[in-house]
Amino acid sequence: MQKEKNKKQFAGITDEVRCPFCDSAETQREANFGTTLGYAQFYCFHCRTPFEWIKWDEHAPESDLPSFLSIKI
Amino acid sequence: MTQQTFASAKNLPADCRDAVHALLLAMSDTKMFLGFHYGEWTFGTPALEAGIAACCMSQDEFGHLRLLHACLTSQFGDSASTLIEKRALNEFANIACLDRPLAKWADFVAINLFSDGALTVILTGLQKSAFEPVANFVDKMVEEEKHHIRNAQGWFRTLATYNSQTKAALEEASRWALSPTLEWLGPANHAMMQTLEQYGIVNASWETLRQRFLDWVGAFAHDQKIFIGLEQKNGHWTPTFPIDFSKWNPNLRRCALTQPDEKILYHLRGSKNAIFKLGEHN
Repeated sequence: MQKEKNKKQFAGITDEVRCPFCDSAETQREANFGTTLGYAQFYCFHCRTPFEWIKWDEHAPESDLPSFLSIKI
Repeated sequence: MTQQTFASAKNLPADCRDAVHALLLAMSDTKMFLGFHYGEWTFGTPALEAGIAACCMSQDEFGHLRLLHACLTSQFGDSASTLIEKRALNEFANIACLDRPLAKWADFVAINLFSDGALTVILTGLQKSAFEPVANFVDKMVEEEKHHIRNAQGWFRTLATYNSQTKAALEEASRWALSPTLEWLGPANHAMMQTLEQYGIVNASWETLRQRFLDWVGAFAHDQKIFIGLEQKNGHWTPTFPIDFSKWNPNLRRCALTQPDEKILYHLRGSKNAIFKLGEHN
């Protein structure tokens, strides 16, 4: 299904992204960046509304970042 | 033993105060030039999304620049307008590969990975700094810089594997950017860096911070089969080319008398629109 297929497309977003307007999970990533680097753009097929989603760090794979960013001080 | 902290610059010992001031100036100059190049590459990128990312990173860098200038103003008596408008070209302490306009997309990717990456290593070195005004804002910068690193690594991988032309261009750009970036990081045994470590301004020795950068970019480029002039020795990556630090200037973080292109400063300062600058004609 399109929804399932698109959920895994964007590295860093592994959780289900729900529409902030109707709470539907029938969403699709439209672009990796929105108004800032920290946002991705999505589209909701249920209420037919585009929305921006913040790439919270806990959703992003730390393994893709250099190890110096994980050093505990 | 509990590390002594410093609530303001006036509490710092004189040698440490000078070292912190010079480092913050060099960081703010580098962020200003990174912001310029990223902003300029809003257009002309290989993909629309790359332009959006460049524009976003430019906003981040100028936001960080404002924080650094606010710190330099409140703690060291500088003024943001003087730092941008009134300094001679040979007073800027940015990484030297940012001195000129970027000729091609591979140059952009190289400064994104090497120059922005080196600055991020130093930012992580300032986390939990004994100098509280810096410790207060550096975590936010590091969080935003993670996106820059992801962007740089993604494009580096893309150019490294797309075809022989993009790979060759990336290799050339990487070597072009790495040397001045290492020059800017400076000699780890310099008195300035040892002062920063001694007073807990940085959370690790300068050699450790420098090596973290080299180990990251060395292994990363090696994985992509891009030779950037680093080799692995005893588990660590080291340059295969010499860097002569004998004439290294700690205030400019340069080995030679290089300076930014006047045209870039003309744009950065908004000189063309000087008559519209509010509050400067009274």
